[in-house]
Amino acid sequence: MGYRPPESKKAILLDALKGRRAVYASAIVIIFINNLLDFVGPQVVRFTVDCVIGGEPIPARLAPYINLIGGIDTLRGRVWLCGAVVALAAALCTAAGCLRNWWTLEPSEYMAKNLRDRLFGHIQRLPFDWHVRIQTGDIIQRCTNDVDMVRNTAANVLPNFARGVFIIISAAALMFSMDPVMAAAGLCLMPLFSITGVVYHRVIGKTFLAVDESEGMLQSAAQENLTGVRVVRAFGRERFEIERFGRRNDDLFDKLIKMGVNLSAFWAFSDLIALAQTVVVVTAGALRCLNGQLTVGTFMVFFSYTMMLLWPARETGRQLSELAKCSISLGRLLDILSQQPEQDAENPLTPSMDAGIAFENVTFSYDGVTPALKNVSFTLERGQTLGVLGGTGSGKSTIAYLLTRLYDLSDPNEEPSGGPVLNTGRITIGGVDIRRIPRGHVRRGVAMVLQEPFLYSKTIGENIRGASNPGADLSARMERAASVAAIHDTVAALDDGYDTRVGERGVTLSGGQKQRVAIARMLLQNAPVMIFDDSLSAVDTQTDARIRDALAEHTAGTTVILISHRVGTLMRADKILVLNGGEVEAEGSHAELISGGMNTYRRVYDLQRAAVEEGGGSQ
Amino acid sequence: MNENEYPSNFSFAVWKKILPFARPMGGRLVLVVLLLTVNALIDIAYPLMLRHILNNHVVTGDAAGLRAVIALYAALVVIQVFTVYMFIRLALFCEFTIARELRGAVFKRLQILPISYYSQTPVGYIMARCLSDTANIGDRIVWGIVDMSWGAAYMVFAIVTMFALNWTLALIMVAFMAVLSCVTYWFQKRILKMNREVRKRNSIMTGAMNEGITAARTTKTLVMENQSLEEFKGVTGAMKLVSSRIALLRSIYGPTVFFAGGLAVAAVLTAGGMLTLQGALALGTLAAFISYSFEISHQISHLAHVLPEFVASQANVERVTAMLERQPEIIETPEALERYGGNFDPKTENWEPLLGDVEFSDVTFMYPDGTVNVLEHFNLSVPRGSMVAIVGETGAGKSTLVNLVCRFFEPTGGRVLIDGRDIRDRTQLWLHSHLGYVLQDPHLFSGSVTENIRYGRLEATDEEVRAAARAVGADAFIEKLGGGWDADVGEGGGRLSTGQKQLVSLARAILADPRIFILDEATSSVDTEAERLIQRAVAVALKGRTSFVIAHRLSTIRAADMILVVDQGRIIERGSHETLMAGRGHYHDLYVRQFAAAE
Repeated sequence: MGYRPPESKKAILLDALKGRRAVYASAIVIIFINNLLDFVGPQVVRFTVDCVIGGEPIPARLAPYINLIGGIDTLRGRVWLCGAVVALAAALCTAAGCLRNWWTLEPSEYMAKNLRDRLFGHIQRLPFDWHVRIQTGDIIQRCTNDVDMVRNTAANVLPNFARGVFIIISAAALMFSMDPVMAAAGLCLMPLFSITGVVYHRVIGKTFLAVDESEGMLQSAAQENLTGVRVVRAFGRERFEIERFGRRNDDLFDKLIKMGVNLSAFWAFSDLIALAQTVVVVTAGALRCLNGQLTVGTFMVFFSYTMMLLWPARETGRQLSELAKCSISLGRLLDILSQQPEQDAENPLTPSMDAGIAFENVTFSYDGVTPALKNVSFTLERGQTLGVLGGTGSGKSTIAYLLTRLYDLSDPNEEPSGGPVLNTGRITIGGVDIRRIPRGHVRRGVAMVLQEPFLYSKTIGENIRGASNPGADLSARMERAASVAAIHDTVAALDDGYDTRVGERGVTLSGGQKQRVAIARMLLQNAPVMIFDDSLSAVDTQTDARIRDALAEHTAGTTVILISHRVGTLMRADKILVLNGGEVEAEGSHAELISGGMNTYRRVYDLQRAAVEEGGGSQ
Repeated sequence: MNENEYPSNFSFAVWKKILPFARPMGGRLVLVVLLLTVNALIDIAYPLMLRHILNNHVVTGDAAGLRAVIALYAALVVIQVFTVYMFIRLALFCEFTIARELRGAVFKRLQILPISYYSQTPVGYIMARCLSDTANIGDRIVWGIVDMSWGAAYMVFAIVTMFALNWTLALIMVAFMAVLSCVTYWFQKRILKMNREVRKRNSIMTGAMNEGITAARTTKTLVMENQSLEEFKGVTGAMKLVSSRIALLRSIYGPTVFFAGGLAVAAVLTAGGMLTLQGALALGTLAAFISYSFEISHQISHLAHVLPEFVASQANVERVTAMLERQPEIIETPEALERYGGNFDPKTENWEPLLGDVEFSDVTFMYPDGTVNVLEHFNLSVPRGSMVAIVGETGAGKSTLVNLVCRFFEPTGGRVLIDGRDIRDRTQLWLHSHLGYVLQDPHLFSGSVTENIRYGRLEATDEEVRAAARAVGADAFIEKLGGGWDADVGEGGGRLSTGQKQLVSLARAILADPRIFILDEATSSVDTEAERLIQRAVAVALKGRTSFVIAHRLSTIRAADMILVVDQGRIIERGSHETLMAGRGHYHDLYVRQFAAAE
């Protein structure tokens, strides 16, 4: 059971092509047929020139057919018949070409769609931890550019490469069967193209890299200048910035010019080989004709075939380098798809989440070295409010992450893999170990707002309603939730109210406003357990207080966990947990904690109260 | 602001605006066109050489002079290869130079565009104008010229040559070219239209992918994984539909052009074959015609591809020129420019020191995108060295006064006076050189800690930089960083915590030793210990300077000489802490609510 990652790069391609594999394979066969038909035209020209116009004897293979239509004299009177054969071959070629294109282009689009869907779905199911560790920009790059690279390879590079290889092999065979000496003359310089291919890949690839790098530098210079525009202006650093940008701009230019010099040399050299090849064919052909070893028509055929060969041969080097790039892209996609997604236990339980919560001796470490929580135990009755106080790095968010199964404790049934065991203990809801409960069920029951919540680029209303069950009174409930989160008035004041779009093309909300929309979204979910993980950090204290008052009313009967470093936020909780360096330093109600001698809670309380008393003293 | 807007018609007026950037490349571009003409002529010559060899040597069996002809052939090859090398090199040089100049000009313009422009325009949009549009323009101008001049030269030479060789066959070829042009036009029009749709769908798809990954953590907590995958499948499905449609058109188009080429060869073979049989046409001439017919059909389909691309790049030109023509909203008076110098050529020898008296005299102000006055006949005098705290709820409009003091905006009525003189009498650079500015979400530039602090005063020595850091108590954490003072802060300062970034930005402001200090205080995004450190640093920074503080901390507010209370964009109360508390107004309300929790 469980997720089986793709075994190889090839498997990724084959999986994504499932349903179109036969079509794509047929396209390769069609390419071969198409390419054989390509040879017909010049052969007809040869026959016309040699046998119809000139007086050469008719080849034995063709003689029965020619006699069937009345011999060569019939053709001399009706040269259009030769033209008709050329046209017929062209028509067949065209039909094959259409099929070949359609059978490669459509499956490539199909494959790209499947690949994108698979990546997207897979990424949604990858563990929270993976999302924390990754560079978002890099992953997005892979899912867009690398997929496009693979699509382009399937649609263009691979068919063209196959066509090139077919043409070279079959033309070479055909040429040797017609006249070995001329074949040698027509093919002798082709191997040089493989050298240019290697040079292209090595040398020019390197200059391309240098350009990319320099472009990246320029891009970040611009980006930083634009996002920091107020700082630039306030310090009057416009000139400094222009000079800095100018230096990077010049650097990019230099790198581009270097690449340009290489590119022009590369193309000129490729042209030189190609054109020199035609000189060789023309010279050899003319000499052999003069010696009577070659007919005029055959000479013309060789000239045509050499021309047909030159372009694909010239491109193979570049195509090989493209194929190598595609392989790198596939490797990057394989990286993502090999990651294990979240998996649920085999015999899951789905108990009611409206129940008491218990942490039993929980020790947890993110990196397996430093514990974030050490031996933490507490219980929380259904409907109670728990406050968690602690500074940065005290492990207070870890409690929220574990309770929503964004991170898991190790399975007690699994053998520990040596070394100190850092993920131990048990978390239960209603007495059931949460590892037995499917993640979806846990998260629907335990709602939480992240410190930096994300709003989708939909309307504000859609954002708030998104995760909730539809119902007749949904919009009334939404407005109520928004009022509690102190965002209703702000939204209502917008021109389109709840239909206002969020994001780049819509309204930009401040950090505090985003948090409040996210709180409204959570409230509407109506979960029996709610976690506020520093959810009001970007909201000023006044609004914070207002929201907390409204929340206290709204969440009556709900189990609530409040995480904060503001004493004011927590002091009304039924129970407060004071965390320090991952350990529970104290536990109790506000009254118990401040009367319990000097502890962190008391110290923070005094610090924060000192400011107030100093302010209130004048009254 | 749509990325996918396409112009429908070629407009010379638009392209003319970009001419100043292309003109310096004029000589080189003319040379490129000349090289291409030679190149095309040689391409025309090859079939003629072949014709000559066939007619005068192969058919007649005369070997005399063949060696010279082959030598000429080889010489043409060498010349052509040389033109290829030269024109690619020159064209790339022109392309990159135009792009570089455009980028520089756009960036320079961005430095003087008003702050309001930045708050209305997404950074991604500006970046695309500055980097990809400019590169695109360079590419399209130069390669458009290359493709079109080569194609045109080849076609003209080919037609002339064909008529000179045999006008019957030439007429057949011209008729064929006309038909092929019509077919191409029909296809390209449709492909181009669909291409726009594909690009639009593609950018929607990329956006959705982007959002799906950025939002994944939130999606997880909301258990919306399946829903978001279904939505994404809808987007990729729509994308697949349009891209398949365009694939179908492309599938037919390419082979159709090929078919037309095949028909041309068939026609030439039939007509030419008959003529040759009658002895009216030499065999070599027939071969030359067959070569031309292949190459011409290739050229027509190539030009059909290039022309629309060229027209499409007009959208890039329009967007870039729109940006270059955009006027800054804040313009220096000629007198001020004359005396104090511009942003890029300051006359610092004429600068008076700034003392720090700030006065708002009968100021009325409305934001450029607003509909109501947020200040009306506002008067406030801030003597040097005093501190103004601005308080109010999130989104109440606390930044307005700061924007006016920084001259990011100018009043719609009345005057802002610095040291008794209108802010417009002197230049922005003069003002900004005397201003310290610390943002609530501090912005650092990638580079070392030292470089970031030195941004406050570029000529400061290492010792001065360290002294500034020590003054705000930032030295302790800096020295603990791996790399110490040379530690890289990462892009946007990403490797430092928010509290650390605030300390660095305070040190940066202090180093500038400004007379006026603007501080947009952070709400509590750092823990209590770090906050104390910052509070102390702020106290050091503000000492002895005129300051405007958008305040959230009680200690800051209490220390202010003047408190302004802002609500819904307007200043509704002002005074010292004591008088405001005694007034029992909005401030009293705020105060009680904010700190009631700790009672």
